Amino acid sequence: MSGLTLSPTVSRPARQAAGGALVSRAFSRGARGACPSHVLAWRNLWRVPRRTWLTAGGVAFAVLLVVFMRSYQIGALDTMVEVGTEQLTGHAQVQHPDYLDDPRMRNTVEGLAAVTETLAGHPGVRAVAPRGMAFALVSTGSGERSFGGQVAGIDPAVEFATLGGRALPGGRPVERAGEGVMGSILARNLGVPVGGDFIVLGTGKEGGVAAMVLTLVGLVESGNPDLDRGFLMVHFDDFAEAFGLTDEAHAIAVLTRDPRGAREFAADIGTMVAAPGGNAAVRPWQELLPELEQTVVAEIGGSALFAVFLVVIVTFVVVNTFVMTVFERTAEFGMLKAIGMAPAAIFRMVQLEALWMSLLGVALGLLLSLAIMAALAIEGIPMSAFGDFDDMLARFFMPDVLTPVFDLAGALVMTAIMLVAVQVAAAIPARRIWRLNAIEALRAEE
Amino acid sequence: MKLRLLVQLGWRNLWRHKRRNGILLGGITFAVASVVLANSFIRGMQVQMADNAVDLMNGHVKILAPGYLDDPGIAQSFEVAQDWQPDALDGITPDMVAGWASRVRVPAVIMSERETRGIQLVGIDPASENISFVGKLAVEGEGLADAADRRVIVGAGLAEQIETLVGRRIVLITQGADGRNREAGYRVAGIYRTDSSSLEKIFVFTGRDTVQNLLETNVVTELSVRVTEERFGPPLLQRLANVFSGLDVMTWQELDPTAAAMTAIIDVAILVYFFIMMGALSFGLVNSLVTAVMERTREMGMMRAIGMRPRSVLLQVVLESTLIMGAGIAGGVLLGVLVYLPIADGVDLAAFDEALSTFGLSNVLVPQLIAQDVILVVVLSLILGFVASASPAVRCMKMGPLEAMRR
Repeated sequence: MSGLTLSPTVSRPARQAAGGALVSRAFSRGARGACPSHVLAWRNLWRVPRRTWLTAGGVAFAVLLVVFMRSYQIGALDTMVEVGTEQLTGHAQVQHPDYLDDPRMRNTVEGLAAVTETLAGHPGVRAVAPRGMAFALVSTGSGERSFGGQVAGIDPAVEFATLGGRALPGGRPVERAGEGVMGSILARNLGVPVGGDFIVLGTGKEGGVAAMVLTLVGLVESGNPDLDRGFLMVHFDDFAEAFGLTDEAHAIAVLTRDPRGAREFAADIGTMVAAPGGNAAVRPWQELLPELEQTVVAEIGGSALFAVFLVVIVTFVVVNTFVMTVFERTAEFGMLKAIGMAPAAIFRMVQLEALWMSLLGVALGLLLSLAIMAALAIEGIPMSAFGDFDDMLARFFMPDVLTPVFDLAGALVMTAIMLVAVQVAAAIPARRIWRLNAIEALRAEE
Repeated sequence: MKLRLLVQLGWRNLWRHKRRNGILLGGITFAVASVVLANSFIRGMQVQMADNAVDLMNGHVKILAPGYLDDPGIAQSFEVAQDWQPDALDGITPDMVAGWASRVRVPAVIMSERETRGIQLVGIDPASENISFVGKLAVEGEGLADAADRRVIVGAGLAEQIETLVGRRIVLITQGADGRNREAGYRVAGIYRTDSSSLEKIFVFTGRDTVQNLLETNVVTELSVRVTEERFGPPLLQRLANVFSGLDVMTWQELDPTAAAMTAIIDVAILVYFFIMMGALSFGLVNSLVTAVMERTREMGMMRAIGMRPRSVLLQVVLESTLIMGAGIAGGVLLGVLVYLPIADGVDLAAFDEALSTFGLSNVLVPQLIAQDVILVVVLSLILGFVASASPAVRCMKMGPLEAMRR
């Protein structure tokens, strides 16, 4: 088999002697405990340090990338969900059962006061805010131009959402009845300055004319031109009066203590709020912002696929290493067999070597990812480092600075996967130990 | 002759360790195949994103009146001659232009017997809309016949909201350049469906002349030109900017900066993915090569002793690395293409409908296997194999024959 090989293995006589001494020690004390075989396995790893470092390095590389990537991804996704829900929808909304599919004026939740009280009494609730939504025409007093827009009626005393916008300097949010804020482009198109008056005209719940005359107190800019061109916020009381809502709203937005538990929360309070009006449904943010949830699912799925590819490639690397290891130590294994060591015991030793090697790699990978994260976490990664993506970030509810959240669960799963993969990878060539003929194997040393 | 001998030697050396090199080959093949496939998907996404942005009535180049983007109304408009043709421009040939379309797009309010909604009213010439998604719409009922068609087509999402059906009447209200509201009744010719539910709620289409008549004008608000290949965009932009001085001549990237940013990110993503996968692989490659060199130290020493030059020894190691890398790359590309072929028509991703449309993608993702990407992977992998073999090769070369044979 090795007729062409002019030189045997790299193991030097000195190291082999050390290994041999250990073997005998392992045998003499093997009966008393498993400890020496671990020592033996660990020392065997360092007979060819370069190879161990390279293989463990491959494992570390995979662990580092997966943990690092997932940590940033989770940090980003958490923020996306947080910003998206807190700026817009809240973590859940109580709505008319038809409102989600068919957001029209007459689909309101009735018994606003009672539902609000019920929700406020729930221990998991941080804030409750009524919202009214309508399409209306906005114009200035001179009546020259009018623009279509989405009007949101909010109660500033309890409202938590910034509704996707940054307030521009020189203005303030709606504080009392008779005031309104609008998207910056809408205000520019209307030609209405902060402090100026504007008119909102729409169709009320019962089909009558809904009209409001308001003072513009502030401008918002979301970065999304469609929103900035056609969005305004008014006081909920004005809205209810103009559109003819009595003790009802289009949505009652709820901020909970745990956005991840929004589905459970919705199911939990579903029966509670349905009782008084009899006609209400609780929608968790996943239903209100399906694109946000799907983005989260798709991103996590994508990174899982990436991790699988990476693990498979590293497994190839490890198999390769152990093919070399087992091949080079043919003579050694032959000798062990000749002096009476069971193939299963030799196999176990190789697997233990694999275990220690993978532990080394995983530890290295985790340490490196923690170190890099710690170094970057102080500042976070400013997204501007990747180019000018302001509009895109605003659209996807992304923060300007990415801060990682160490993904402990992911790190544990990755550790487990890597340990198992390396065990399997080592076992594939190590099966050879059983087929080894002691005499032939000893001869292989030349 | 010398090189041939070295190649032969390298090839045979590889066969001395069938198992080890077989596994290494498997690893390279898998890594290359995964990179080739991932690239085709990422590229597919990019092409689709760009295509959709262009399709969304942007065209590759669009001409707008200044101020239209802030205030998209009929007041911000311009005139185009009926027989205007972009391929009559200096340096632009007909084969560069896929088509062009002028439209009147204004905000409007649509009213059915039951409901009122704010929409974008788009007056089109159906014959020229093969350059946008409008020409590919699946319409229930009838599509528009020509630019003078007095009927409208509405999206399925909107039709549901305002409770209208094919054949019913709706009223459109929009504002003229003088600020006065115009309204008129129209019959619904058809109801269209798209991949994106939000589009269906925004756009209502009718004949271009119809909107012009309603607004008592003969102007248009936009003119889109689509080119046959992306690279014809810049020269066209240049010419159009000269012809339409005083108007905004914009690329789709300027009109849809989100899509443009995403497509730009993807160019980087392809490289990152390659370096991660091949980086993981290189640990195994270096490992194998180092072992292959170390266990042949004596052999190499002897070769040196009988007169082989240090340079040839170096070349020998590099050749072995390149040979196995080459075989792995060939296998990987082949495997990648084999997996790609059955899915080349597209993969259905309906489960992610809304997220995809947020990113400007449709439900069916069509992977794009581009020769240029494959060549990039091949070249980069070969370079990687070369780099990986450098350290063992140099080590081998530096060792004197005596020292090597003594080991």
